[in-house]
Formats: sequence, structure tokens, C-alpha cells
Amino acid sequence: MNNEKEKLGRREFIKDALRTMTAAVIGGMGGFIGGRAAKNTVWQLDPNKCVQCERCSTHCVLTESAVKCVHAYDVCGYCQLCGGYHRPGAKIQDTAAENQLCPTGAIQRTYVENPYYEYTITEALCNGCGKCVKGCGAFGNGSLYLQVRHDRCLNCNECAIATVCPSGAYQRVPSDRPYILKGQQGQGS
Amino acid sequence: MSRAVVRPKSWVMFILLAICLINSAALAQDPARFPKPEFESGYQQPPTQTPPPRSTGREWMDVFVLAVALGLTSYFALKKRSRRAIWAMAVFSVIYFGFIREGCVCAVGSLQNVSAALFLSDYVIPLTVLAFFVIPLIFTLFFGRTFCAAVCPLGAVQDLVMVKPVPVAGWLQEVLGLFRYVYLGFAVLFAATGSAFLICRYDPFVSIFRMGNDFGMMLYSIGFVALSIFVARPYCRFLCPYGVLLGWMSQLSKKHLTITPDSCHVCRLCETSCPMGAIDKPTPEKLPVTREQGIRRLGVLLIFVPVMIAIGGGTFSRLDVFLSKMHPTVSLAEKIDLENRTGTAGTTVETLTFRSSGTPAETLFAEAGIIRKRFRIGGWLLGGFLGLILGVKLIGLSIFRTSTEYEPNRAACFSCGRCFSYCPNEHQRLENIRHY
Amino acid sequence: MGKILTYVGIALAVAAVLAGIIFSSNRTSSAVNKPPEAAILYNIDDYKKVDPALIGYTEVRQIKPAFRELYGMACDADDKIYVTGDEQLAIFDPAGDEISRIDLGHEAKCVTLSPDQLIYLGLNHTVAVLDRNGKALRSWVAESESAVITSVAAGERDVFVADAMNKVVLQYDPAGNLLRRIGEKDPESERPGFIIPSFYFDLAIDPDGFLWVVNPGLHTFENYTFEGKLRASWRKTAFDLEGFGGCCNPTHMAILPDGSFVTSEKGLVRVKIHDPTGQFRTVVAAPNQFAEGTVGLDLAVDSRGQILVLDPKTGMIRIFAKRSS
Repeated sequence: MNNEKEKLGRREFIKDALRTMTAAVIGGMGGFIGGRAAKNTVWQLDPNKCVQCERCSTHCVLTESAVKCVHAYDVCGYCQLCGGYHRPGAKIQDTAAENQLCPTGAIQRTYVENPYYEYTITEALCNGCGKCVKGCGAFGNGSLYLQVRHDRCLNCNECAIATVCPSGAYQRVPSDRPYILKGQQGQGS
Repeated sequence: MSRAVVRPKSWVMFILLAICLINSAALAQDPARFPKPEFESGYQQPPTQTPPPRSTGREWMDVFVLAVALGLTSYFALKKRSRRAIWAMAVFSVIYFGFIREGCVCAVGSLQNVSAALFLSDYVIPLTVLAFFVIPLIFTLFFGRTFCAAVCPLGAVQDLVMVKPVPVAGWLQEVLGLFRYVYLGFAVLFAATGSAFLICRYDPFVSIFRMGNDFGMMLYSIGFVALSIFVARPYCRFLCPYGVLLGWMSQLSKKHLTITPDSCHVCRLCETSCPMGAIDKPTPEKLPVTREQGIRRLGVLLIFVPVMIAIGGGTFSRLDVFLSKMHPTVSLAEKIDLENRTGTAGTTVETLTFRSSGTPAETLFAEAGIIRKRFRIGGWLLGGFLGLILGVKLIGLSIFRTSTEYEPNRAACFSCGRCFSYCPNEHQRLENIRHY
Repeated sequence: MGKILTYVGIALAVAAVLAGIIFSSNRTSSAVNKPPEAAILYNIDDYKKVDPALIGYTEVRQIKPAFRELYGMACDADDKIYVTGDEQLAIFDPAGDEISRIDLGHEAKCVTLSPDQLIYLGLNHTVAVLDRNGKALRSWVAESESAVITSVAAGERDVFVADAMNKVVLQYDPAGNLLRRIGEKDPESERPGFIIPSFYFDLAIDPDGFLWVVNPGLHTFENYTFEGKLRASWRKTAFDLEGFGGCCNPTHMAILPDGSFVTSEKGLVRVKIHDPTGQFRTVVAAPNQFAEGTVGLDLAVDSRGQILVLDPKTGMIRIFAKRSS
């Protein structure tokens, strides 16, 4: 009986020692990688790498992609004939649907003054396909560009769009600077 | 003031004094120097809206909730012995960690972030993610797998839909359980090589929590939920890679949930109570093999283990070309190589993009070569690990620990507390509480 | 009975799980392997196709200057070629051999030759004048330091400077004294002025001695007297060969001895010739002759009527000659 107790005591001791060791290993590992741990990060796409393949609109885990087109107004030329708004070959000064490039009609065109027009993205309608981005980049200044919108993004551990992005434009950025903006706003941050 | 740079090549001195002030290189990119339209109508350019992400505060709040939930569940499982309270915790976890938080990052997935942080020099892990990985491990080290019982939203959702679980034969459970090690090995390999986060890609329940995904993933998720009705916790038992780590921790745990509140009378009432098959029976009086036979078998296996490690390592390291296809750089390099050999160009968006980037193909091939080399080493480690696991499992079959009680298997028990009510001593205990 | 149902349930669930994996991986791989034509839905391919019969020029020669970046180009009366790139100016003989290279210390975005064979450079906001040997003669800061000079044209007694930032053409005498500002926005005549959405704003002097300025935002060519009066203009907005599309085209322009315009565009990258009244005449280089992402093709014309195109994407001077038909 005594023998049995001793055996149990020995087993407990070994277990205690192993447990302490394991805790130390986990702690040490945590310290090792925690030492260079970063602030929280979120997914963002670099508009300078983006090639507008349209996968952002189809590969997000959300049915309506978290990626939307945004507009750097201070880069925009306020053109009458906008490469991002008008379908190639469209007649000038016409907002008819058949002349619009955006498949969901998410770009609003409003007259400012001769000969300038303001273009605004209606985010609720935008599906992040990037057709306008392509048009604006080819003919204009590239003031229209895609961004992950963080009011929508679920910040998946592995971004489903990032896995299929052909240009490697997706990266993790610090969550206190969650956008890669163009124009003055991009410069300021 | 700017100075003219006179280089030996220039044959005439050229001094240009007037140019100064502005660094012309930054000119084209400087938006302040953009020829803006001049509006006379007083029009102001609106700023680009930037809705902020979930705050860091809320991430830490989640860590706090995780710790509190673990503490409460451990209390309910070990001290209070209340299945109902554990069930309520499971409901809470499914709602909070599942439907409200919508999944990421979870403790199961965080093991990939940790692997990446350990092996990739340029990968940094956020502290909250590290906390999500470490806290459940530490809790398990002291109180058993209470994380699985009701804190992990994946485990909790399976626990809640478990309506008509069928018993799974012991040998089948052991064999299917080996998948967890394979899954763990591959998940770590792909994360540590920067290829993919496999666990996230095939997370069966996140589509449910987010209530949406593509058709295939939705079907996969619904299938898993349906399976969980008939098979108790199929993901936890046969796939969960984090469960492997938790199992190891649990075996060393200081305290653990017990079936009986005091001592076991071997009444056998609890024998079939666990739908997860995690109850160890008392060892029979007469062992199936004699002590000498057992020792001999053990000796043979101990020699066999290194052989299995070597075979596993050799096999998997030879799969480097195949496995490395998972890495985007390698898969791109293969496509480019194929195009080069067949004399085509731009057959996919990837290759088209790469070619227009102007990076020489040799650079890409060199990168792919380095990654493949990493896969060769990773293959040795993965194969060796799987060989070792197989060896240890076989050794486990020939070692008999004497036990005189019905006990939860510490590695396999999820601490869900279903067995409590089967124990007559438990009823006695509750009776006593009611009396005093 | 219940048992059978259970097993059927398990089988169905396992089938759903497996089918889900297969479906989902098919979807990903099919999207990844989709041909780029189908994946990239926005396309201007219809406009990129040019009837070969309409291409009146053929590429005869290429010169590759040793520059990382190319900015501007001009051709003198002896057909020597002046190219600016990086922070230097390089001079090539008509055979294409580099004869000299001059360090400028800054990037010169444009270069031109005056009738008396002086080199005029636009460096940010500064006009610099060099003699043919590259010796600095004088320089002056354009009217304001905010100026961004995108083009310079020099007559016998006048120097015209296109300032894209302030959307104005500045007229100087050869000594650098400002004579007048041309083409500004005028509320009275409701002239919108020059609309310049990006840094492309070109001008040139025609053989009759009048100034032509491209108003890229309006796809318009404007003709001014040396007194700064608008004489005439023509506007062609069209994506097809008849005109210019996009927000700001043409980006560059050169004038042939007969007064026709050679134009280059961005977006729909092409070089073509319009007659003095603006009618499309012929295509020099079609979009398929340029690499994806080509932008900012500076132009020059030599004494033999050959058209020189500075292609910054491939880093080459590409010379086009009339096709002998």
C-alpha cells in the first residue's frame, strides 16, 4: 500500500515538473514571438499594385464584397468626359445608362461648373469590380481606386481575396492606419 | 541652392544656378503639385471617407471575454459540476465568439499565425492573436480542455446540435483521430512556409457564423452541422489541429473534470454516457498479454519508431515539388515556366500581371527554388512528426496503465459534463446540497 | 428504422462535406485559370484595332539611349536628336550614335530647339538655355515657383512656355522677360481656359509662325497669334481615329512642315496625324505597337519627314517613316 502511494507521489511529481516545463516553453515561445509582435493589423490592398482583375468583387467571403471603389477628389481632374464614368466611345455630356461604364450605376455625376463635373461613388451600389478604376487609370489620373472598406471587412485570418489576387496587392497594415490612400490624404498619413 | 553635378562624362561645364528648392524627383507624385481645377463656384473637394476598422480596444475586450469564459467554464466543469451551466456557456460562446464576433481570429486558426511568426522572419503577429493562442493552452494545462467544452465556438456549435450521436468503435475513433495530426502537420507546414492558412480555408463553421459564403463552402458547412447531429463533435475529434495541442496540455493538467464527485464504485452506469467515447474503463484483472510479451513488443516498437520517423521524413521531403504548389510564388513560377516552354504568354491573369511587372523570370524562379528548399526541410519535419505520432500511438497500444476506476481520458475528454448525471454519487451529492 | 435513418443522415452529411470541398476548390481554380480576356471585362480592344490600310507609317529604326527614365525629345535642323532623361541631356547624331551627354542636375521634362539652334530646356519651374555645345547661356524661373513646365517652343524673338500647374502659356523674349500670359480662363468670353487634368500640356509653333496649344481636357487645338489672340481652334472628341478620347488627350503634339499635326495619346496609346483643320489623316503607330502601361510619348519630326516617338516604357526612340506604297 505504501509502495502504491509512493508510486502515485512520484507520478504526481513528474507531472508537476512536466507541467511547469511546458508552461515555461509556452511562455518562452510567447515571449520570443511576442517580443516582435505588432499592433493589430487589418487587410488592405495597395492601389499601386492593383491590376483590376475584378476578383475583389467575387472572392470576398461577404456576398457583397468589402472592397469598394473610393475617390481621391484632389487627384481627380473633374473631367467632362471621364474614363472611369463613361463607357469607351460614349458621347460626351451624357449620363444615360448606356453610356455608363459602371455595371451597377454606382457613380454619381454632378455638374460643378463649366467644364467640371464631380464624380461620387455610391458605396451601397458599388460591387468593387474596378472597371471604373481601370478606365480612370488608363485615361485619367487614377483618382478612382479600390480599397478594403473596414466598416464591412471581417478581417479574416486568411483573406479569401488575397489568396487569388494576381498582383500580390493585398497586405496586412496596422489597424490604426488601415487605408492606403491616394492624394493628399495618403500623403498626410 | 542646387549645384550642377559635373561628371567626367560631361564634356562641357554646365552650371545651372537658378534651379533650386524643389526636389523634382518627388514632383510627379506630389499631390500638392497637381494641376487642380480652379473652382469659382466655391466648390470644396470632399475628403475620401475612411471608416475605421474594429478598434484594438475591442480586440482586447475579446481576449478578456475569452479569459473570463474559460474561467467560468472551468469553474462550472470542475467545481460546480453543472452540465446546464456549461451548456449555457456554449450558447453564449456561439452567440458571442460565433455570430457577433463572426469568427476571426480564433484559437484554432491562431496556431497558424504562431507558426508563421516562428518560421517567417518578416511575419509579425498581433499580441491579441498570440493571446488567443496561449490563454486556452495555459488554462488546459491546469484545468483540462474546458476551452473545448464551451468556449471554442466551433466546439460549442457542434455540442449544441448533438441530437442523436451514434457510438463510434474505439479502433475507428483512434484511426480517424490520426487525421488531426496530419491536419496539424500540414497546417503548420503551409503556414510556416507562407503558403496558405489551411485551417481558415476549410473552417467548417465560419460560413454559418457569417451567414454567407459561396455555394461550395456553404454546402460544406451545412454538411458538417448535419454530421454533428449524428456524430458527436466530428471536427473536434477527427480534424481539429489545435485539439492535438490541447490534448497534450490536458494530459499534464493539474486538475481535471471527474465523472464522480468522490470515488468510483465501478457501477458501470457511466460506461456508455460519453458520446465522444472519452471514458477509460478500469483495466481488466487479466491483461491480454503477459508482462514479458508486453516488454518484448515495446522493445521492438522502440527500435521501430526511429525507422518510422526516417521513412516519414524521407517520403514527405520528396513531395516538395508537389506540396510547394500551394505557395503562390511557386505556382506562379510554374505557370511562367510552362508558358515559356510552350511559347505562350499571358494565358492567366497571374502570368499576365507578372510579365507586365517587368520582374525577370529568373528572379521568380530563384525565389521559387528557395521556397521549394524550405518545403524539403519542412517535409522532413512533417514526415518525421507523423512517423513519431504513429510510433507513439502503437506504443500506447502495448502499454497498460492500471486503473481501477472509470475515468475521463484526459487527452480526449472535452469536459462537457454529460457524464455527471450518470453517476449515482453525483445524485447523492446533489441530494446532500439540497438538504443542507 | 431509426438506425437506418441515422446512417443515411451521416452518409448524406459526409457527402455534402465532400461535395462542398470539391465545389469550392473548383470555383477558386476555375476563377484563377479563367483566361484574362474574360476576367478583365473592361476593355477598349475594339478601339485598339486599327485597319492596317489606315496605318501610313512603318517603324524603321530604334535608338536606345542609356537612361533609366526618358522625358523629352527634340530634333534640330541637322537631324541631331536631343533626349532628356534621368538628370541629363544626351545628343545623338542622325545615325543614332551618342555624341555627347550633359549633366543637368535636375530632370528636364521637355526640350526644344530654337531657329537659331539654341537648346531650351524646361526644368520644373525653370527655363534653361544652352548653346549647341551644351554650354549654359542663361536661365530664368518661370513666372511663379509653383510652375511645372511641360513644353517649350521657341521662335525668332519669342519663347513660349507651357505651365501645366497654372494652366497658362507664358510668352517671354529670348532674354527671359515675360511678355504676356496667354489662354487664361476668361469669365467674360466664357472661355474655360486650359483644362489640364494631368501633367500633359503641349505647344508648338507652326511653319506659318503661329502658336498652337493643345487643350487636352477639351480635346482641342487652339491657335494663337504671337500677340496672344485666339485665331482659331478645332476640337475632336472621339474614341475612334477621328479624334481623341479620355480625360486629357492628346498628351503630345508636333507639327509637320505642311502644318499637319502629329499627336500622341494616353489610355488608348496611339500616334496619328491630323491635317491643319483637324481632320484625321493617317495612323503612325497603332495601340498594339505599344506595351501595356505606356504613357507620355513625346514626339519630334526630322527634316526628312520622319516621325520620332520617345517611348518611355521600352526606353527607346522609335523612328517611323512614311510607308512607300
